[in-house]
Amino acid sequence: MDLLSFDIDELLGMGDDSNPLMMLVWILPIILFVFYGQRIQLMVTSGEIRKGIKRLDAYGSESRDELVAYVREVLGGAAAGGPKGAAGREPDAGGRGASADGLAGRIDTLLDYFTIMPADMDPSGIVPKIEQVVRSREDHTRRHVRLLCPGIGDGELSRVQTLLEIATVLRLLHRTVNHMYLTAKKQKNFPLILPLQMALPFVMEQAAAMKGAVPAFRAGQPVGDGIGPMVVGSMMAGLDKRDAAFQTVAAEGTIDGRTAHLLKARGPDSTVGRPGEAVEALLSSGARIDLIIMVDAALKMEGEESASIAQGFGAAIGGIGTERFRIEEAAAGRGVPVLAIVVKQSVKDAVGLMTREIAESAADVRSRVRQMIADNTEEGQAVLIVGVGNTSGVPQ
Amino acid sequence: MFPFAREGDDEREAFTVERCAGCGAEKKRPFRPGDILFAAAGRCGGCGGSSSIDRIFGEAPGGAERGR
Repeated sequence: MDLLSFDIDELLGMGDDSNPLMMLVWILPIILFVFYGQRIQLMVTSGEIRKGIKRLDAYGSESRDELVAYVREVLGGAAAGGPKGAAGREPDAGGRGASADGLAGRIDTLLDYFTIMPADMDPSGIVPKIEQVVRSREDHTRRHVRLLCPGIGDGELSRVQTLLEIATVLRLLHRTVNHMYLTAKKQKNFPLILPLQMALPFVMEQAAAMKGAVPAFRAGQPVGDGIGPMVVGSMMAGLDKRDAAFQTVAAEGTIDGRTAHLLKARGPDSTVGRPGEAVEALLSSGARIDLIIMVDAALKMEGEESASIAQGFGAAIGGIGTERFRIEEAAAGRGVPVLAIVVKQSVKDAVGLMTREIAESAADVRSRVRQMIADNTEEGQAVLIVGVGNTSGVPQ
Repeated sequence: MFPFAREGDDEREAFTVERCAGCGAEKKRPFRPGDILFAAAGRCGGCGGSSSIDRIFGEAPGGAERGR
């Protein structure tokens, strides 16, 4: 039998348009894709999205477990350190102290708290409302963590709060992505899954960065976002510090013949403080301020180098926007220019343990601050330098 | 399809750098619990001046800077 001598045209029926078998071979896939194309695409995309959801679920559970382990560690330490310890204790009528079994449940309840933002149909005057909601949430969490761990120190409390925040966000991300996926699947609605498919890589990057940040916060190490407090904290060395607002400290010194007011969150706790309130209070007190310089971390664009430094105008401060609003209002009301110096970094670098490049950029940032002061003020004038960011592991 | 990071991609080893205020000599060592920036770090081995913690940062395990 000669297997090599065959005619390809004859085999596929290409030379004969009337071959019914070949007509089916061509027409069936076309019909299949016209009617079931979206479903096929949905099935292919689903596999990848499911992987992402599984990973988000794991991030959420692992960060929650690490939080529970940290709280147990804190409780153990408190118990060993004195009579205020609560390890193995049942919660009393006021909810103070938690048994080992009840602890995880109490933490789960805290993780499931949600926040309803104020209505923005009439946006005038919405900032104080947002601030009130956010602060209520923070105060509530702080109070409940204190009830859960009596005798907890401020540093540990701030770490527990940060870990709670991370676990809550990761849990919320998982729930949201899972909801969108299951809805699209239930309704067999491919267009509904497209935005999810597009957003998922960004969501996963954010989630992986937050999950990776847990060990650094647990250990009280500086994170990339702490470059602002690190720069200002080093400038505060040897100066007298005073409380400027809740979890925020200020100091006054001299830089090249100018009065320098320095402001940062109170370290080494894991907090961003309330710089907006502190700037507002300082300007309202009648203190002379001719220039405000804000030092912060900023997200870099793709292609930009991590730890590169940039200078610009305006209030460099992230978050929900209420702190920036306060600073802008106070500065604009008194005609004080606001300049900014930012250290660019990725999301992973910003929330995770500070990288060597970012840590080594601090000296350069300090010299740029001095140069900015020299370029924009005269001797005898006063400047306010604000170090913005999480001050974990960065005292003053 | 998606550029998801692999598990363990973001693991970093923490290091502390002590700097002498007198001679500027730097000593890099693994991070120890309780280390915080600007904290006193004893006497400088070279000039006997006082050292403090100048930097705390993370590097990929086995990075080029390790042990420098």
